[in-house]
Amino acid sequence: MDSETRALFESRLLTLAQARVRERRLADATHTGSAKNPFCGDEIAVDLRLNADGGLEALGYEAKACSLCVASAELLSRWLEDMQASAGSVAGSVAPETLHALAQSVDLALKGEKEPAGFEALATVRPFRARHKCVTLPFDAVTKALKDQHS
Amino acid sequence: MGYDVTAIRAQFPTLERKVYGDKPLIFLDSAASAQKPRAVTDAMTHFMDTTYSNVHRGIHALSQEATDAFEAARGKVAAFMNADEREVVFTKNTTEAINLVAQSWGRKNLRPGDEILVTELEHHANIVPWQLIAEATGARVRAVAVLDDGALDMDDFHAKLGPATKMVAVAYVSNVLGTVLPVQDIISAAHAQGALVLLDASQAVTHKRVDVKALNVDFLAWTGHKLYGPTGIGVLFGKFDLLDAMPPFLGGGDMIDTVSFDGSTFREPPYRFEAGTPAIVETIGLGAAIDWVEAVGIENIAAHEADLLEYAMTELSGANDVTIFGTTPTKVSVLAFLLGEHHAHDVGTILDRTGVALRVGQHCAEPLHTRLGVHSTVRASFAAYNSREDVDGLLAGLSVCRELLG
Repeated sequence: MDSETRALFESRLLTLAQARVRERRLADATHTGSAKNPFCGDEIAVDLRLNADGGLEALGYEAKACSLCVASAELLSRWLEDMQASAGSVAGSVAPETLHALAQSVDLALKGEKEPAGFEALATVRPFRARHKCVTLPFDAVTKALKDQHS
Repeated sequence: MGYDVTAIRAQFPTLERKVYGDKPLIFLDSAASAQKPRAVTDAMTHFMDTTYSNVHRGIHALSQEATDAFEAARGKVAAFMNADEREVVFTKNTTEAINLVAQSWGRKNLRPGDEILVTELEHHANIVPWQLIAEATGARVRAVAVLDDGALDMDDFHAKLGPATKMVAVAYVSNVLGTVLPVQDIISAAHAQGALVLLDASQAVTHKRVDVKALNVDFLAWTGHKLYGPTGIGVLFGKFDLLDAMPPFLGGGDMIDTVSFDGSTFREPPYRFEAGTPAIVETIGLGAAIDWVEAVGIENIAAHEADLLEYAMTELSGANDVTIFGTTPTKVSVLAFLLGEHHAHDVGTILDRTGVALRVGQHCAEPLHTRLGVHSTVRASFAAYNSREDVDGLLAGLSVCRELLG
C-alpha cells in the first residue's frame, strides 16, 4: 500500500475517531446545527453554548459518520478546550469569529496551506480530495449552529 | 466461440491505463457510468469530422446527412427495445425522461387524491420528480416496501395498488441491489386497476433484453452512458397514443407546427418533446453503442456478467466479515456490501488506492439505505469488459482494507 494511504489510516485521526471521547450532546445548548453529506449519508449535529456576551463556552457533537468526520469533530472539541485554557481566552469563552476563522483555516489547510495548531493530523487527508468534505462537515454544522438561536 | 473478455477489454482504451503510478485500473463502477468502446468514440469523431451539422432544419447536404444519421440512431434505439420510432423521445438522461412524464402527463392527468406508486428501492430520479408533480397537483406519492433480501414486497404492492393509483413508477432493476423487479406482474396488476406504468430501466437495458411491446409498458426511461454510450443522451419510450395526448414539456424550436402571438401549435411525438437543438453527436454515439452491444450480444453480456456475479457473491459470502445487500435469485451484476463495521468511504478510499474503482455512499437511493438500516454501502458493478481477475483484484483490495482498518 502506498505511503499516503498508510499515513492516513495509521494516523492519529483513526485513533481519535475510534475513541470518540468528546462525543456528547449539550443539554444546555443555546445553538444547534446539523450537516449532512448527501453522497454518503453521514450526519453530524453540533451543539454550542454561548454566553450572554456571545462567547463560545462549550461544544458538543453527535455523529453518524466516517472516521475522518468524527476525528475532525474530536479535533474541534479539543481545540476549544485548548483555547479556553489558554491565556488569550476571555472568561473561558471563545469568540464565534475565531471559530469561523478556524473553519477557513482548516479548509485552506486541506488545499495545501499550513494546518492550524492542533489540526496537524489533517495533513494526511490532503491527498484524498474525495474525503475533504468528511473533515469539513463538522464545521458546516458549526456554521449552521451559529446562525441558530434556541428560543 | 465463447465469450472473449480479453478481446472485449481491448476495445476499451481506458481499461489499459494505470492509476496511482503502477496500479492497473480495475473498473467496477459501470452502474454509475460505463466505459466507452472505441467504436463509440470513433463514430462520434467521424461524425464530427465529416458530417456535423444541425439537424431537421437545414437545406444543405450536411444537414440532410446529419439528419439521416440522427434519425437512423432513433431507429436503432427503437429496434433495440422493440418500439416504433415515433415512440422514442430523446432526452438528456433518465432523470429528464422521468421528469418529462411527470410534468407533462402528470400535470394533465393527476388530481388531488390520486396516487403515484413508487418503491423503497428507487433511485432519487424516480422519486423526486413524482414528489414535485404531486405537490403541484395534490396527488400523493406512496412507496411499496422492500423485503430484507432486496425483493419487492408484492403483498404490499397489491395492498397499496388501488383505484386511486394513477401511475406506478418503478425501477426495472435496483441500482443498488441489482434486484430485478417482477415488472410483468406489476404491469398486469397496474393495468387491471387502470393505472399506467413507467419503468426506470437505466440499470436494466445494460444487463438484459428489454422489449417494450412484450412488457406492454406505458413509459420506459433509460440513459445512454450506462450502455457504453456517451453522456447527455437519454431515451424515453412512450406508447404513441399516450405521448400524442401529452402537452409539451419544454417549448422552443423544432417542436412546433406554427408560432404566432396568438398562440403556438406543436408537432407530433416524438418531436413535440425535443425542443431545441438536440444532443446530435451524443445521439450518434448512442447508436454506435447499440451497434456494439448488439454485435457482442446482450444475452452474451448478461451471461458473462452473471458468471462474474456468482463468482463475486461466492467469494464474498465466504468471508465472515462481509455483509451483502440484495440476495434475491433474480439479480443482475450489481453488488452492494459492507466490510465489517467499516464505513463505506474508508473502504472505498483504500480500494481506490489499490486500483479498484467502485462506488461508495448511498448511490442516489437514500430511502433504500434507510430501509436497510445502513448509512451507506460499497457497490461493485460488473460490465461486459470485466473479468474474474477484476473480482480477484477486489478481493485483494479488501484484504488491504482489513489490514489497515483492523
